[in-house]
Amino acid sequence: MSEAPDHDPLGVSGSYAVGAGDPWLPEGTRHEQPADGPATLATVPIRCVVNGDPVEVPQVWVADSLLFVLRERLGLTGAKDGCGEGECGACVVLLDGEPVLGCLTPALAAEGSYVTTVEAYGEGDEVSAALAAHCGAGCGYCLPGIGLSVRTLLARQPEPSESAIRESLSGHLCRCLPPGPFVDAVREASETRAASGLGGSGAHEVGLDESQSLNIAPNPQQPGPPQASRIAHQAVAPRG
Amino acid sequence: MPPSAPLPALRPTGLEPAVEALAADPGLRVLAGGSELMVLANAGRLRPSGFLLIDRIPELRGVWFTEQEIIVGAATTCADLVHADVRAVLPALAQAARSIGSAALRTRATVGGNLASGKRPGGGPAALPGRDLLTALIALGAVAVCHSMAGWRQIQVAELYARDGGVRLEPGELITAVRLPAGTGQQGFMKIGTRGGPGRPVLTLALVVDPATRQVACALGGHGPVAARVDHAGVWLADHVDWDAGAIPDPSTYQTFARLVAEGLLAPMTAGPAGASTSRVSDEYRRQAAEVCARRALVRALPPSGWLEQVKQYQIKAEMMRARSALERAERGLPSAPPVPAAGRTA
Repeated sequence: MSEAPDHDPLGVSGSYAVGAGDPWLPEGTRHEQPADGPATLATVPIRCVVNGDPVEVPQVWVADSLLFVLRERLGLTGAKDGCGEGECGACVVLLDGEPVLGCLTPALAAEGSYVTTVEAYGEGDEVSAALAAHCGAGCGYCLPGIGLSVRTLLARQPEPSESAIRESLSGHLCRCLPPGPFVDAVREASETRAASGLGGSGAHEVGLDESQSLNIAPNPQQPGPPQASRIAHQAVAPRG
Repeated sequence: MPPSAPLPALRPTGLEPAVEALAADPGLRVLAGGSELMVLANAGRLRPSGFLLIDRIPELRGVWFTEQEIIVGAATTCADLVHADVRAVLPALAQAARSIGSAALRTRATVGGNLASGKRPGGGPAALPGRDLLTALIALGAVAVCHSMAGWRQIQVAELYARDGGVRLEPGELITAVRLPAGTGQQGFMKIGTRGGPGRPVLTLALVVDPATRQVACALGGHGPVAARVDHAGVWLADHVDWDAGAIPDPSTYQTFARLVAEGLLAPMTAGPAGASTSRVSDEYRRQAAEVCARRALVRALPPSGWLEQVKQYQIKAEMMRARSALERAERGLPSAPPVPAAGRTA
């Protein structure tokens, strides 16, 4: 595909245009690949399951981030592109049930994995309701990432302590609101879950099943990640 | 012009194929979590012809407990290290791992990546990695195990770095594990960053006390490209501890030790290259930070009295861990042998 001389890479993805020298980059920018002539970037197809739907994305540059693929190739703009350096937490998505920073996770790492973005929650659940109620005054840019971190926290600790809440929020920057409303929102979500029978210690057992896929899968028929693709966890990993 | 490499070649599931792929194509960049390399890639400063993903190599991920040592696989994530079992036997390393980034970052960031990221000696400028784990690993006396087609190489973690902070890895070489001598739990790790939350370090300090050999190791990091041991403070402290009674008789010992550690920031050749400070703060602030961290770490590791009981508890815990981890590994079908040369493996 990339052999076609008049192939417009921007038409596919928006990031593959690479020319000799890259004049728009700051002076002194170094490329590992010698910039003698237009370079063809190594691309690969990526197959993964996003929010329960198997997808195949052709021609993913090896250094494309998962966030880029989700937003620009798949049109899932729920995860936000904040800093691109792993500081802000706006890009958090779940990879095989584990929260990861979309901007620092290469799309390659999602091959054969289950990706969950905030779109999986559709009209929202008790976490989004609590966040909307307490943090609705803000712009909302940070909320998709925070929501996923909070759901992971509640799946592991249905009744988290304040320090656990604060630690789970610590990787998320919010420029609109202080941390207080977020802590309140997590508490309320935890109470709502307990009241509706989703939380409590019983759900904790269910939540951490063998595959560690959390009990937040939007579609109950969605199978857990295939065992073969699971990363072997260390011997001392929690037993659920 | 490299052809598009097929994906399986980029993400091997075994150690030997990974090393072979790296030898075949030196242009491949080794990527475990991506938390450092992807920052460069996102900024347009890195355009690799291909990545070699090592995050699905079971041999590289995990912690192996043996009688003499603890072996941490290079692709073990910081989230793995925060687990309670690791915290029980390697508190300094677990605390260092917990101080890195946010929870979402720790699920990807790995031990090997923390050691190997950054520039090569004499290479161009690169983002300066935080290397918080390095401070703890140096204090613990860790040995890095590297593997290439040429064979195995084992090197003290501190010697893995050139003076400018470049990583002295041969082409085609892969860090597979770090080996830590089985010590005791009298350890501590302290970090001061530019803010309360996750961030780059201004100063990191790791303190490792081994009551069995009566040695104290202390390392400072964050002030320069490479963390370094502050040996003179440890040697002085070892003479001022009542090891038999498990006590520190003179309360002023804490303050003197802290002052000696802070002096290590200034002493050339002990705590990083002089004048190469990665300073975001004044030297005076950093000196004071080192003093406070050293005192707090020592108070936690060696309270004025009564820590012999803690040492005993620790030994019981470590014993349980050894017994359990082997069983659990077999149960889960995980590799039983750590990624170290066969001669070094203990039966």
